[in-house]
Amino acid sequence: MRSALLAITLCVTLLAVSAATPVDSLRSHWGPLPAPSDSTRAIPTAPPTPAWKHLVRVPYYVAAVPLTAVDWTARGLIAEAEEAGLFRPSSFLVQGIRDPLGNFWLPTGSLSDDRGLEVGVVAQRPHFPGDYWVTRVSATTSTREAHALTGGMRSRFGDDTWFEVGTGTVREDNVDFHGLGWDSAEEDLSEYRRDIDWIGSSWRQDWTGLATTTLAVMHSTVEALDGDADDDVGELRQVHADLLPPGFASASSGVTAAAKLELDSTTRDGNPADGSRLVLRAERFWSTDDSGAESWTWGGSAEHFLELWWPQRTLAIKAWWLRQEATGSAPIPFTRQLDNGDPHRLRGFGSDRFRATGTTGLTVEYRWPFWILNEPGGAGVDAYLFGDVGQFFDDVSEIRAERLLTSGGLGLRAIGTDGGFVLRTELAVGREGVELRLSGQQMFQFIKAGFYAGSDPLPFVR
Amino acid sequence: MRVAIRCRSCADGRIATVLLAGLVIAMSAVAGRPPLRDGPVVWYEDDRRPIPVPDQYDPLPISSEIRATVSRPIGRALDPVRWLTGADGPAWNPNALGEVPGSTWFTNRMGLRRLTAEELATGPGREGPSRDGPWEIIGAKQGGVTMGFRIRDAAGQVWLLKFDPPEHPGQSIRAGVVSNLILHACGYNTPVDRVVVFDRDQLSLGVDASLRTVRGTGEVRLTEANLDSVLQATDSVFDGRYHALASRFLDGIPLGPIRHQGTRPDDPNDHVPHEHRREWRGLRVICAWIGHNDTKIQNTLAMYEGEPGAGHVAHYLLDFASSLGTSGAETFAKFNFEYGVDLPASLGRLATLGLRRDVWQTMPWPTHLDEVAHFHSLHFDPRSWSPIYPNSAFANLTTEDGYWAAKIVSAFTDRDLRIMVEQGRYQDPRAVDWLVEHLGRRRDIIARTWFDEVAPLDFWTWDGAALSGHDLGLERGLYPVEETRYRARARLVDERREGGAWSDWRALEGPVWSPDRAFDRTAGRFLAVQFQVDRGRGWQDPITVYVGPRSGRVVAVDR
Repeated sequence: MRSALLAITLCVTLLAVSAATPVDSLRSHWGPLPAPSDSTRAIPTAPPTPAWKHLVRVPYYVAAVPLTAVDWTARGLIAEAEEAGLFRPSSFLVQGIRDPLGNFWLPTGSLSDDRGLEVGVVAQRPHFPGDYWVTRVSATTSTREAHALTGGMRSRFGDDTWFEVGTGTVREDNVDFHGLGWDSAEEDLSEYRRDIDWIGSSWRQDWTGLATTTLAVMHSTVEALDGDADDDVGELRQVHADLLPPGFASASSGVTAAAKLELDSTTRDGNPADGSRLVLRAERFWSTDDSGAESWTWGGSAEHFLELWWPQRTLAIKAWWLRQEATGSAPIPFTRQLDNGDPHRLRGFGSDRFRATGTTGLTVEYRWPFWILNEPGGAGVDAYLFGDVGQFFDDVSEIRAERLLTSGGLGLRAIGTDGGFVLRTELAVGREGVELRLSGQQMFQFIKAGFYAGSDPLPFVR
Repeated sequence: MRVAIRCRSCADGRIATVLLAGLVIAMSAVAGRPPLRDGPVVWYEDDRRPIPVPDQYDPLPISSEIRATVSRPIGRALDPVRWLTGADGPAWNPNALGEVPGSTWFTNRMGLRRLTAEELATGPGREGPSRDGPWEIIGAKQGGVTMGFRIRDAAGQVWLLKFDPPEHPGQSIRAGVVSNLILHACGYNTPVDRVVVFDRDQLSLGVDASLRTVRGTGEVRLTEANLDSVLQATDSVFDGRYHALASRFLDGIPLGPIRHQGTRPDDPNDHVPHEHRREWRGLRVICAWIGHNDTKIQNTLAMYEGEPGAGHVAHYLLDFASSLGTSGAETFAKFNFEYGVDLPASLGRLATLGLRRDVWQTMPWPTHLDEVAHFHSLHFDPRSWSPIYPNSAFANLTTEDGYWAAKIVSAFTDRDLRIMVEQGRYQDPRAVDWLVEHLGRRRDIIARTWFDEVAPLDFWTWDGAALSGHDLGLERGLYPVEETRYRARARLVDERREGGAWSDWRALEGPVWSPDRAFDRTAGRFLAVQFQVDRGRGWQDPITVYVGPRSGRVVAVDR
């Protein structure tokens, strides 16, 4: 009887143990483990902390208050954004907000040295006016008083053909001007107001994936006027009173016909490791005002990508030449001359630092991976060292080795998950100082947004 | 004026002196270990008391990833205590022997005993979904990057049926099962995950089964036609039959992911900040071993087990698809070597101008094995191993935590590994051989890494006449016998570990020490015996074993 009771007690105990204990077995390398009981079960407590740790951490806690506040705020904003679905592919930041009429409304933003911070809104309507069409209207404003209203339509015919029409008006109250030609001086900075209106269309044809041709025709008016002298920078009319540029204080209207041929053997958009790209351009301008201005703009660029010692260590080289020649009875208005904008840009100098009828240059970038999202060659951030050399000129005879401008620097380029270029930031050092730049355009494989996207088409052949 | 200045200087000097003295005194105060206790060793954590059902915790994935990747690493980087000590102090929950008591988080398995072949192969459960009837599809898998369905088997049990991505059929489902078994054998709670092989007619469509659209903007009704197209898209077909991973839904009420830092505020049983749990810190070593890099909190799950009001919270690890060289939808060599966003690694690349290649870009990956991808033991360094996202518990890993985990990892024999790897039902036997070989090599690297720092003399017992331990370094074949020497010394101490002078060191044949004269237990003092081992490179830091006077048992080990 006693042994039976003992057996029952043991069974009950074991059952209770097996129900309560997380161990699979009471066997162990330490010997038999005791069953759970008040003496073998406990709530862990913090081990004793040396006093010096508390002492050392006091200044840390104090100093961390602002950081904690920033962290708390940032996390709150991120959480709100995520809660609102802004990080999803279906987010309105990517797709836009769809209104009841079927239009998609999308916020936009950009940062550039000539326009400053630019914000705006874009409305797009797919399948309008036909199945293969998309229509777009945008309005932007910027911190440098640049206001733009543009509209465009694009249609795709088959897999290889695109047709675009577009119109727009831009008013920029503070456009920089330093003078014309290679010897314009940095200290001759002045400002003027520029108004541009255009309407045009283009036809782009992709031939077998290697060659692309673009034909365009447009009518444009550009007018350079006195700006609002409400800042420290002098007015163009005052600073350059002794030699006002041609076309200042008047409007230039005319028709432009342009053609572009692109030959591209690169295998990736954002960070190609091999291949070449050759672009040839020509543009003819006839004035429709009474100035009698006519001109040719022609030139091209050649790019080559070369993989160096390891994969994704790429040398990118580009040379360019662009030339404008007046063929009419009047000089080319300075507002239609070439400037230092992308993609043929001498980095370290502002977009409007130079204006002339010719530009040539050579740029070299050495690229290597900085951050890799998943695998080399895919999304991530590339670092690059670059060097630019080039010159603006009005006559070929002006090109001299001692007049060449040089600059160099370091940058980071973000590559998206689709392998395409997203954004670059770079620090360029030229003889006139240091320029920190954030840009959504790249120097290589540059694709100018067309009439549909509403970008300023002067000159079209960029 | 001069006097005033001098007096002020004197005052400043005195204040500075006092402050400096205070700081020196404070700095000299070392962390005291808990006093010795001559009682039973704590083997269980008291965390199963009945509580009300806690609230659902549903963190936003991107926010938590940014927090894990940015905020918390910055906080750790700025912490001056970490500059001085490299860590955030010892784990809170080990017992006096350095082991982790059983809890709702962890169950001592391979670390404390040999598991049988049957236990290793079974893990949390051997059987997949019941085949007594068709598997009714009740919905699509939600979240994650691979395709799958929720099914209900003939027994009414709900399972998640996951397929491999079409680019890598047979990779992640097999890795997921093997890693599940390994983590379970180590002591963690995992769901039942099995590779299942079935024909198309095993599946039937539930009435309300639906699929989420690609952009996640809506749902469409699942039909036989689009079920066929989904199955076809998975490409998980071997010899005409579908292979998938079936993961059984856990019993209880899901409460959401487990934080890697802090405690669950509405769980009164959750006493230890998770970053201070030894098993959560040591998980880093085990994840490094199996290359389980997707350790985000969304791959953990707290479950309320028991009747509402009478149950408690249990803690599970989930989804091991990104392990053993696989990475879920796609396979990337970078993972396990760098965090997803790894500033030091990126800055290193920036500084070296691309002249240096990352190790992971030069590895001889087993490209001949379709089912394995990026798993290798070459250049494996468990200390520098990185999951995709940093986490506070992993960042707190101390040498003692690492030693505890290495002790578990090194307990697996090659035979054990083969038993578990075979449960992945790899189609190519060479894949099994490869995984067993490299898991074994990585195991040995882990063991040597921490056994070189903490003498692996462990599992001590006192039989009244001798104190006997195990040299895990020798028993697990990590060090040569002929170059190993031992020595020990002893003294009696009080519960604060203070006592008389140590005896002279005495050379030993093995980790077995006998006192010159009988241990006088009537004096009420603890017997402290210090052991050292030399592998031919000098004596390692000693470990001290304490025997209680009343219990006559080993009551503590200091490492």
